[in-house]
Amino acid sequence: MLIRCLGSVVAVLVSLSLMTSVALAELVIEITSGEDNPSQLAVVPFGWHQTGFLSEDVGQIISNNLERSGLFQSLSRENMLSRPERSKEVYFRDWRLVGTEYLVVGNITRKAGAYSISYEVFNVGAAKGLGVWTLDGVQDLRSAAHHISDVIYQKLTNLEGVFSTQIMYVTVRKNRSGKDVYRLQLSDADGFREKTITQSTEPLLSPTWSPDGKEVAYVSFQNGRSGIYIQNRITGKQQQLTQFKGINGAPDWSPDGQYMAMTLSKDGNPEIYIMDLTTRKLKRMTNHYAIDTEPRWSPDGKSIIFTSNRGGSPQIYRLSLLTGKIVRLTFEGKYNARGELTPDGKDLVMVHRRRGLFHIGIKNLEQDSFAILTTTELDESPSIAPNGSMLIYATSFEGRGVLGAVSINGKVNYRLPARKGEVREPVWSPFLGKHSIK
Amino acid sequence: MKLANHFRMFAFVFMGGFLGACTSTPEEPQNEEQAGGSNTGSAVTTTGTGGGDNMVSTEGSGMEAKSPAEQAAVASSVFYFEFDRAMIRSSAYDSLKAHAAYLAGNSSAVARLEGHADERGTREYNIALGERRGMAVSKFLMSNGVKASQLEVISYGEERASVSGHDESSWSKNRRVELKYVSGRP
Repeated sequence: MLIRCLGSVVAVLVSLSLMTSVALAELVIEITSGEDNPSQLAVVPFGWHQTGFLSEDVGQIISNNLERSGLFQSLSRENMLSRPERSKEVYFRDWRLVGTEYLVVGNITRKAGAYSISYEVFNVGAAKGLGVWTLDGVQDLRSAAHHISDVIYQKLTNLEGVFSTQIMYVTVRKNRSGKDVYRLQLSDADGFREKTITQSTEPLLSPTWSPDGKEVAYVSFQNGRSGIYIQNRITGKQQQLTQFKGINGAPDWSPDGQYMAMTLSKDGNPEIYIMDLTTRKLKRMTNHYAIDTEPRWSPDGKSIIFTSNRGGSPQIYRLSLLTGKIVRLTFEGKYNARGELTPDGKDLVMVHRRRGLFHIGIKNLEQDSFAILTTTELDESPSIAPNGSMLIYATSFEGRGVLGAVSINGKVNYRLPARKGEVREPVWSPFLGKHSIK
Repeated sequence: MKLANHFRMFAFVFMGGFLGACTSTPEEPQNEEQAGGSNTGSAVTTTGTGGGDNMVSTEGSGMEAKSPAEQAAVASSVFYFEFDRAMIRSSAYDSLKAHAAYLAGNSSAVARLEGHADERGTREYNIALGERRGMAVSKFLMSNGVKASQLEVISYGEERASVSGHDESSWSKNRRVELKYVSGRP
């Protein structure tokens, strides 16, 4: 398709889908950098020989997904010397000639009101198949393509894929009378299939997922003041959790789903509290005249990290839930906030200010090493994918709030499809299970 | 309603120029506690009117001649702050004292202090920062005789910018507290 300058910051536009690129021209993912040496991958268009057109180009979605991980570079269709749909049609010579290392072929059939998708993965150099799979009873081809991407990704990298996950974010757009409309939006991890969860002309912020992905929580000013709300993602049913005097902010579920950490200023000052979601009882966790906010549970549930300016500037601290002891985690520069730990608990990502610009920073807590992951400015709200491979964040591009993603090693960087208006506060969902394919 | 507020704000800024009450150059920020103690409760007792239906006077230049309501009506009602700070600038003291004198003399008047931050930094931290700024103004007013029950603080953080640019001149206008009368407007 296009030649990419590896390891550089030359932008390459990857048309997301040949079938939809005309109608939805703005839905383009811009990959701004990739791994130094990505594996060469070819995903042959999946065969379809029954009547009618398919609503989705399954092969293209898989190809785009794997390429977006930064670990693979896809062969464009016009450079394919043959288009096999099953193993007996594969001639490895055709693929060695064009430098392909891994090959994916597949075909789609339909009977009794559902699709069946068969697919195979080959190691071209070793001239052998790595696996054959069939997915039956498929109604939703796009979700199936994401699922297949996960299977292939796991086969090739030994890491669980995140292509079937979702992201949630806030958009802000002016309505006809010039008033800001805040929308809490959900989309697939690739930015497609956006839908609105809730909207208000009052601010919405700090969205977060329950650990099972069934519920979301957020802060809404819908009653004129801040309150924390929980909403069921499927039924849309909303319940108000808090509306104390002052700040009701920064909700974050405990990993076991039983508790919600939050910031309240009802006692005169922003402090961290934990609410038992069954009894609704609150426990105050911090007591300091400085600002304490942005609590996040550690993945093991044993501590909470939070932002505090108790040292004179915002820095990230860790509160042990076992001992009650608070230790400072960041010392790099004068602004480190909204920390989040990687799933293994070893790395801390945060918003970091350097020379007046706000970037996403990462600190390895074991080696005490620090790196800046993003080169853009005004970056905020890092949220780590459930497999720990990448994080999504909000940034500014051409004066507008957009979403970007960067790998934890900083090498892979892409921007999500542009949206109308401002886009803020992306949060990556947990693994959502396989129920959504059919 | 909203429009009226804007006109009022224009009037404030305009008159502020005459009265020297809102200089545009920031002065050395001072601690709000120190500032508060200086002038507590003086010049509060002169209000005769109920305070509800006073007109904004556009003539006359001497502050001495005006009632607290008149002075509060022309005083600036937006107060600005430094980045990541919640200290009131000394340039805001005169306007805040005018509001304090009016509120102290009109116990039915209630003001809402809306705290804001610029777009830089994280959203929840900015919510906390906006509240700090609102609380600083609230403390200043209370140490000048206003009752806690007459004040409410709400923070919008960076969610409601007043100016949409992405440079210091815009940011400096967004780091603010807006004082809005919810009842008993002067």
